[in-house]
Amino acid sequence: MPRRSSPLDIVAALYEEEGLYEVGRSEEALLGTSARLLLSDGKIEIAVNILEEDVFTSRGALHDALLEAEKLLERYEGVVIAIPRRYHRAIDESVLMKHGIGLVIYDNMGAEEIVPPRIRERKRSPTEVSDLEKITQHRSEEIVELKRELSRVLRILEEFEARLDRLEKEQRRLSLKIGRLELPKPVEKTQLPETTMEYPREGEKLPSFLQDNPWVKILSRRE
Amino acid sequence: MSEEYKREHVFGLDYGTSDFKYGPITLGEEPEVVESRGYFVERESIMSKLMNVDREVVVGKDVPLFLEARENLAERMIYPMRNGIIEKDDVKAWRVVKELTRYALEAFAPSDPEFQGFYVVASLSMVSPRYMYENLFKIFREINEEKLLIKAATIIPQPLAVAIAHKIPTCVVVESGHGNTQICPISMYPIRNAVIALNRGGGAANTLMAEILKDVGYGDLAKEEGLVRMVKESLGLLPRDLDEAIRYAKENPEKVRESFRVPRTRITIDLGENSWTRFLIGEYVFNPTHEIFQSYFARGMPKPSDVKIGDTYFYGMMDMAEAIISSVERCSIELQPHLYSKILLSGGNFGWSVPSGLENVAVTSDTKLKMMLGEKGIEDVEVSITSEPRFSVWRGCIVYGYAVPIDYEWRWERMEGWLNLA
Repeated sequence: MPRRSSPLDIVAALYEEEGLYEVGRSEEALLGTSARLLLSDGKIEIAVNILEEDVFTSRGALHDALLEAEKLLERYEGVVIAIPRRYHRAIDESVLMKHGIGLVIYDNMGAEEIVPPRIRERKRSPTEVSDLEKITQHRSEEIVELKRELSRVLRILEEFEARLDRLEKEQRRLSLKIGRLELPKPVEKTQLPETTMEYPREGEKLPSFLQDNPWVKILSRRE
Repeated sequence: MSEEYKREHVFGLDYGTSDFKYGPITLGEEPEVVESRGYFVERESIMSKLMNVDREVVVGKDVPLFLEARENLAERMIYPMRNGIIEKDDVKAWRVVKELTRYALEAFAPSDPEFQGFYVVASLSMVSPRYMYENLFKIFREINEEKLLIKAATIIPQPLAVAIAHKIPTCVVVESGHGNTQICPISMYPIRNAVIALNRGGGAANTLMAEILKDVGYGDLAKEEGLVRMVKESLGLLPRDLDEAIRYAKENPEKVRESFRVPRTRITIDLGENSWTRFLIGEYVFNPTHEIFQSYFARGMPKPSDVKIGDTYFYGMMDMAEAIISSVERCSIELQPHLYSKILLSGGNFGWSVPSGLENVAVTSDTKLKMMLGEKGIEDVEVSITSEPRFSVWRGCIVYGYAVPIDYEWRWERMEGWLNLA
């Protein structure tokens, strides 16, 4: 039997399409809330309080959930509440908009964002600021170290390129040399005869087309 | 610079229509051969990046490594000497000639510090206009500016080189290449005023072969020039008398029938009952005026036309014997019998063989020409086919460079001598 998706999964899938990935979740019931989803795109964090149907059975639970969401605004850049589609009318969207809280409705078919959350800069505590400064300093050191490593790698790469160039030149030179060695053996360079002399002369290895060729005499007289 | 240095550093360059033959005297009997072509590389191609190619043109044995899609071939692959003549402003063709020349010289340039350049003897078609000589000398100079490879250079006509290689000082050289046929009387010097050129060569015979293949149902294969050439060389015959040969073939179809199997494929070409057309191929080279060819012209086969390229007229339909007679009759009366007494046929277009059993109807080129001249009243003729025609021009270049003295300087009036380049 196929497993049914939980409201957490359905809402998480909606935000995943927008580039916000789940960084944490709590499935335990919190005050006025059935579960909480923490989403981030690496720069901001958004908390989504998910209200399931049983929350709506208690008269004050909805108010608790809204108040709880209001509190979260101090800790996260954005806050959203997600409610079952059938309770959509129970919420006044304009109130949520006024407070910058987002609204998502969901059912088994999927989730839909009705009011987007207002993204605001979170006030950081002095401890957080100090931690951030530490992290920044640490990252700067890391960057310097990485740049040093990069220039070392580039230097090695240049050396490799130069060595490759030398090898290629050597390979071309050797190919040429091998090519020449594979050519027909050159005519033995014994003393070549004077062009004005008669042919053939004994003991000389001229190509057959040069031997006894009357043109040698004719051409040597060109002036 | 001594004569001895020159004789040891003679370098021959034969810019043939299909093949480029090159090499120094030290190679002995045979030159190096690469196809006379260049491929303009797509700079962005993977192969050019892999091979770190910084040139625009690739020539020589590496060309197949760079070939890309078939449709690009016609545009990028340039055969500069296809018709024996390069147009003055054909930039691409001249770029290929330059790369081929550089490729040849660099392949043999010694690293010896005493090397001061080769004595280069290049050979061009007899009908090459003066600007081709000028451009080639310009290319030699440009190559030398980059690296000293040429001490001095000269350019000689191909028929003269053929006569030299065959050790015949007085003769008529008939050189038949892919695009044209040149007839050049020679008596110690080429007799330039008597040169006759025909606007047909091996390419014209290929065209007719393609038409025949279409007629017998191989129209798809007829589009591939290389294949057509192979079929022509395998099945084509030169008839003693065309009408007689056709009559014999029709009466004895099985004796003339022959098939050709394309190497390393399953394709076999069989002319079947049309095997008599084998005789048309050879006849067309020697005498395209026979009435039987009219039907092919009427169906759209291009007729070899008279054209003027540079200062030379190329006759389209003049038969081979008539062309030789016209050429010889431009020479002095006293010389004419000597010229007829030695006619040299050079080039792959004269390589017709006689299959056993067909000796009465098929002949070789020398016999055919002797008969044709005899019919026109020219007796005491000696016609011979050059041995190893592929290398004779290069060999002639080597002999020329070996023998001509270094102080015999180039002069445009006589188109001979050494042009010093270093």
